[in-house]
Amino acid sequence: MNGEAPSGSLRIERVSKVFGDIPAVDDFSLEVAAGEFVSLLGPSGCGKTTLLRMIGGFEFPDGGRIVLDDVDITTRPPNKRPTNMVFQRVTLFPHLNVAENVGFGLRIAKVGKAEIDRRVTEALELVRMRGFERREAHTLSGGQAQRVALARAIVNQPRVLLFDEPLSALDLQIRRELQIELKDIHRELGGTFVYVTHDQEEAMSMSDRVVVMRLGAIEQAGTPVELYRQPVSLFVASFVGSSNVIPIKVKAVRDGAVVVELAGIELEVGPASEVQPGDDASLVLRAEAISLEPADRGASGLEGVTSMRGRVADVRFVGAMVHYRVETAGVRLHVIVSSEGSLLEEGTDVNVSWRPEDALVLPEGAADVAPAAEVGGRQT
Amino acid sequence: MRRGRRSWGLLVYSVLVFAFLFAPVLIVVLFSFNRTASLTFPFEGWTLRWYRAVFASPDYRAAIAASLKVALATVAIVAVIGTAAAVAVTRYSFRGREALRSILLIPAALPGLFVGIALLSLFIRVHLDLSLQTAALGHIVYTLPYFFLVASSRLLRFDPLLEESARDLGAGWFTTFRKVTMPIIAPALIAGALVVFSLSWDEVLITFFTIGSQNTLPLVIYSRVKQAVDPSINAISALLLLGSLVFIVGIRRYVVDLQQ
Amino acid sequence: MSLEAAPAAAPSALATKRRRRSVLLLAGPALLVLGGALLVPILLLLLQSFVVSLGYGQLQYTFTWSNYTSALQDPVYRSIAVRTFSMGAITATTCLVLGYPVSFFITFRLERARNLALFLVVVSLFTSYLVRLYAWYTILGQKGVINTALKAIGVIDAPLSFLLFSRWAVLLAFVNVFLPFTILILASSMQSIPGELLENSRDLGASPMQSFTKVVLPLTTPGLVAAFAYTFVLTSGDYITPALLGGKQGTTLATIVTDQFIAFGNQPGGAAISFLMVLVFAAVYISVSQTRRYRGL
Repeated sequence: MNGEAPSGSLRIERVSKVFGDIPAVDDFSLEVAAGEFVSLLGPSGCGKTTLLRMIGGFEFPDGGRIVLDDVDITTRPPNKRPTNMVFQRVTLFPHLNVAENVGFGLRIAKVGKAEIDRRVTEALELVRMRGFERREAHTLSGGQAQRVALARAIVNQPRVLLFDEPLSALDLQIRRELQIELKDIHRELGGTFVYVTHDQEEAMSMSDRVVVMRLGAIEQAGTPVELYRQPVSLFVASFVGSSNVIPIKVKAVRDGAVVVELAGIELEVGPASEVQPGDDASLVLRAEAISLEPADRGASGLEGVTSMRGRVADVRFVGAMVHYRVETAGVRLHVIVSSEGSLLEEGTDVNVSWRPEDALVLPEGAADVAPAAEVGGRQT
Repeated sequence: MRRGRRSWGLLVYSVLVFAFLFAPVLIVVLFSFNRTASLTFPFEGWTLRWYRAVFASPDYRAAIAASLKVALATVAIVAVIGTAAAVAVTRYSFRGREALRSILLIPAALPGLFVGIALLSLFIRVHLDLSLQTAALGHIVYTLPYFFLVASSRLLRFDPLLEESARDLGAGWFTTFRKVTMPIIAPALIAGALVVFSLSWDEVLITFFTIGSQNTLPLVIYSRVKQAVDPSINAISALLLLGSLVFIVGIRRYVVDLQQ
Repeated sequence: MSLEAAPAAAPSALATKRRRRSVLLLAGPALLVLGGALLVPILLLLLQSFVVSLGYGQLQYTFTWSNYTSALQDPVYRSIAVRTFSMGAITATTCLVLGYPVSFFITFRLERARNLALFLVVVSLFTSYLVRLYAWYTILGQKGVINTALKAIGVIDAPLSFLLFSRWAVLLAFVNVFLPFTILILASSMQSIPGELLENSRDLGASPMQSFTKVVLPLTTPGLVAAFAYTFVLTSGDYITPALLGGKQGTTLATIVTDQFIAFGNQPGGAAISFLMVLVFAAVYISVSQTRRYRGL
């Protein structure tokens, strides 16, 4: 072990993998800096797990290279890579107890017993499972087991830690807890984390960078804020966050804003992008960016706000927020509002408004929308 | 599950069937303790003399030794090649996998007669003398499918991610098998081994075709039965029974694993 | 293994090569044993069955159908064949009839005792075949349990001699051996019926009897057929039981084959008869695998 300069930089160079005729990973390139927390996000079948497994050594690419700290590890088997993986299912060895599980890799590496005990204790401390050393692995709950699995991976001081949707089988509460803890652990350890998930909230809340994948290739890679505010495509826009996508026809582009005709009214809907008058485009509106006012309060008439008439079709109260479905301009908008203040009832006529700069106009048709976006593991 | 009155009839019937299944064996064991050679009941006295006769008889002793040797050799070899074959079929996908699986199961679908004559004609062609070893080969062929079934069924239920985890943590192939796979599937393998022992210990027909001048226990019993009814046969049969029931002692602990 | 140089082949190709090597290493021994000790000899036997036998192990290597034709045309062989296969079919049917209610009881009427019951069936499977055979001597013999009991009650004066060394004894012994197999196969087939199906059937108005005939019975057809085939094949090919218990009527095809091999050294003849039997067995197994779900009575 050379405890020298920060390690764990990963270079994935034009990696591809085909299963049968289907390209699971397609000419994929990515650079991960040492110490970064990167998430691979996408719907099932986008290749994120295949890619992760190639980094870990459980699959081998048909083409391309994987380079870790300037060493080509593409053809190395998993036991010869300085990476460790936390798997999707509980893979603790059922015939061993917690301490034996955690120390497994160390024993293989023939580390001394005293050293093993010390490091196992440290690792369990980090995942808050001190005291469980003697428990039989098969008696643990899902959340406990994944913590131990994490400790088992960490204890070997790998340069890159890989996560294959480790929380997807757990209950929501536990998942949320562990997401926060994982982020803390990353901060403490400072290692490189590569995390695969289909839950965009999970990816966004934990990562330094998120790589949205689609059909084996990168759709967009950036910080959570970038992805949220400047999605480059409809796919990303609809996958990340709860967005409404409204098909529009561009009427004109004026003063840096796109003007369309909706419900018979001319409206400034969003900032100008590469669209021309006459184009078919999509208006992307975040559900949180829309505000609702009962229509009988009169039109807001504020400057710089686009407003339309609509009617509340559905109300869902989920605690801190309220989710409304509002019929307007021939579409159903999903609106999320803080639950403070009075709730609107079904059937109420409302003014639907947003600031044009909060919206996005993308020059694509509705066919590019990602599969129904998930929020917090549930589909909305 | 409702228990209607209907069920009492089924219950009684089932108990009768079970009685039918076990009665013959129980009777043999019972009569092995009978003082006289008669087959009447109640006994005129209880005795162990038939057992003593068995152990005193050099023929019987040699037969027991021969059976043990063959059975143990069979278990050892079948356990190794059967486990390896089960790993190959369940862990890897390759062309001809289904064909291999079918081939491995053929001996169980054929009456022992065919295995016996096939082997005998093979030995004749290659001018191999018949012996305990050739008999063991017959036993190996005969019991391999059963062990393979037990081993592969257990391996199928074994999460391959466990092996991947071990590899991820630094273990090579053999270490993974030794430290992770084996300990977990061991109960099933032991159960399989006991099944093989039991089958080999009891095997008659194939042995008849493939053995040389020696006798295994079942063969001794078979030839004696054809000659005359002799109470020591009861005793030796009880011993034969003991051998084939050996697996039960072990199996009880592993029965959870056997449940498919 | 060079790591720094750009791999000449795709890494996945290397992995595939490694995999193939592993498979060969693992499956090789078993394949060797079965191939060499079973498949090849069977093939050789097949070839031998078309060769002329000069008796006592001497062979004349000219092609001939005579082994097959003489076997098929010999009236004695034919009647023995009929006897053998009919015994097989009767045994299989008897096992099905006797075993079905037991399997039903175990699967659908037992809960906590179910595993124990199945375990007991498995135990009876492993009680020695030979011992169970020999036991019938004790039970059916002239001085056996049944006779002495009947005499004691006064039903008969002289012992019944037809009990042992008869087709009945053979049938009894066969059923005793193969009933456990049948029960297990049927129970396994029944266990794979989800309980919800029966509840659904009741919910839709079927009486218990109708649920049985329209749901349980059809869905267990594969098990029925498999149990029948297995029992039929193994009893038809059995040598020991008829030899020990069949008396003068104990000659079966298996006996003939054995005699041809051991006593007369007529391998081609024995082989021909064996393969004719295999043809019958193959036909049975094939029709088993072709069984479609029976659509209900």
